[in-house]
Amino acid sequence: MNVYTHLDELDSSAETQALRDLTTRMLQGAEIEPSPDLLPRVMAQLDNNRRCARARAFAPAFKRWIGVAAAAVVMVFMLRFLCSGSRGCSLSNELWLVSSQGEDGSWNPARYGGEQCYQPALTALAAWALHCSGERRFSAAVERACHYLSSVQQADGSFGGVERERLYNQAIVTYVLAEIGRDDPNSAALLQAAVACIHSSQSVAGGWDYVADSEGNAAVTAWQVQALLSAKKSGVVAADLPLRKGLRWLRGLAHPDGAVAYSKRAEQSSETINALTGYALITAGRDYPELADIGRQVVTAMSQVHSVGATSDLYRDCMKVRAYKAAGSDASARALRARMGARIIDPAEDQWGMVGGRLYLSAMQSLARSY
Amino acid sequence: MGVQRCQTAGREGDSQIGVLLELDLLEDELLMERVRDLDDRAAFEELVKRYQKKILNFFYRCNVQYDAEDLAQQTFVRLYRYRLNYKKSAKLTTFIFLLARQIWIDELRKRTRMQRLKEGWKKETKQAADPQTAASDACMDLTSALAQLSEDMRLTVELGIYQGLNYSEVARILEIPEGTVKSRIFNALRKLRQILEQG
Repeated sequence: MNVYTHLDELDSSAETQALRDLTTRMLQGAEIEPSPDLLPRVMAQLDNNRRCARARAFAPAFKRWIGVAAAAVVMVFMLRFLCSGSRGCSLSNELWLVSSQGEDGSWNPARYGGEQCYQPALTALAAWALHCSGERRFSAAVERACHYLSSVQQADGSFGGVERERLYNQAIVTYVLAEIGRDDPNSAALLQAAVACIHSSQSVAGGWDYVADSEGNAAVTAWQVQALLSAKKSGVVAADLPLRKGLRWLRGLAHPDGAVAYSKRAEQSSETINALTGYALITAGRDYPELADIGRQVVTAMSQVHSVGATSDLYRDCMKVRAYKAAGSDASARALRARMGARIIDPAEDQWGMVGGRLYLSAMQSLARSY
Repeated sequence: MGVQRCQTAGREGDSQIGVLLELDLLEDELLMERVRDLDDRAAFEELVKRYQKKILNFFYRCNVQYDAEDLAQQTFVRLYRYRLNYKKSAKLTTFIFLLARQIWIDELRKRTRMQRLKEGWKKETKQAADPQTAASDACMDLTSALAQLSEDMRLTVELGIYQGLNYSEVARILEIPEGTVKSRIFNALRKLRQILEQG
């Protein structure tokens, strides 16, 4: 039975005829046409899923163990390096960064206690710190860094690495290049390719993650959203769709009390997650009604979310300063910045010191002062 | 008539021969079987072409304005992900709309959660005019009348009238008895008529 046979079953009253007419009218109503890019988008997503499935199927398990072993070796090397006396450096963070820049314009993390795989991201952060300092004398170093970052972009738009580091490299480099090169017409093609790469790794739900079958996690998604927003402001129109989806996904993680869950599966919150998400929602929210309010609520709730342990975490603190500033809480930003500036941090004592080494510490301390 | 070369990733022999199939002549169910059994990309592409407008309008009439294409995309990706669950005995339309309905339910949950979030903050921000309120002020048309139906009723109308499905298929998708489909359609039509007349 369908609607026609159903109506035929009814009596021939005026009401039944009116219902028949109404059905006809409904079916004559205009329908919308799919946009030309719906099919390519679906197929691109399908291809991406198939690639991921293949990669999961064929990735040998021992690769993970090799990674763990390599990380252990790097950590041991870094500890020895740190103990050999990099602490006594009397230069300011910015001057130290300029002095440690490589000939090719990059900063090599492996030389300063960080992981080599994050070279693009750490180079971008170091350049960003110098740029944000406002000192014109650093502009040549910033330019060289941008040149290096442009040169490492691959054909698919990525800046190197796999899984976790690929996503962070991609977002941080894209963000920094879009911010620094906002008025540079030469950066358009580079940013477009970078955005396409970010878009291709977005989950259907709108987030990003390096864990298989995950919709996304807030930490890495917040970075992708910032990168897309900066690219959009630099004129990359294609950034808008993934940005909108990313924001929607990120927004969905916020609880009514303002705490932000790490992911849909893992409910734990942290100050860092709140700071990253709050900042992303506030800055992007200027173009999307209500998001900025949600972002400010998330930042307000940040102080109530206590991260486990009292370990130094300059990344967290720097992101918090930035979030406070964006939310208009200047006093909180100043107080935290003062605490950060007064502390001498040994990379071995910091939450992320083993990953980013001294480059990361210097960049974070410098950025916290600039925000 | 377009002739497409099928990618038959699942069968090495086929891909070597380069089997040519007139995909647009195949029935939906046969295409889906190729997707399920052979992971046939071209067959899937043909299915997306056939169903994209229907699915898009399904969401559009759910009062989704800006995200209808995103939801349609999610539906197709889920169709591919769940391809192994497809059984030959089932009509593909039923299978696809079951997935679309699940996507819509997920979306509604997200929206409800956002609504709660907003209420929790008690922000007195100026809201954009609610479509339903706006509709009551403006001249009634079918779209705004549809938006005034309950979600269950509207979905039944969508599948039973707009998508032209048999009541048995609608019953399967909505997981309700066929008799309920019948009564919902009848009541929905009456209510729509009433709303339109009042408007």
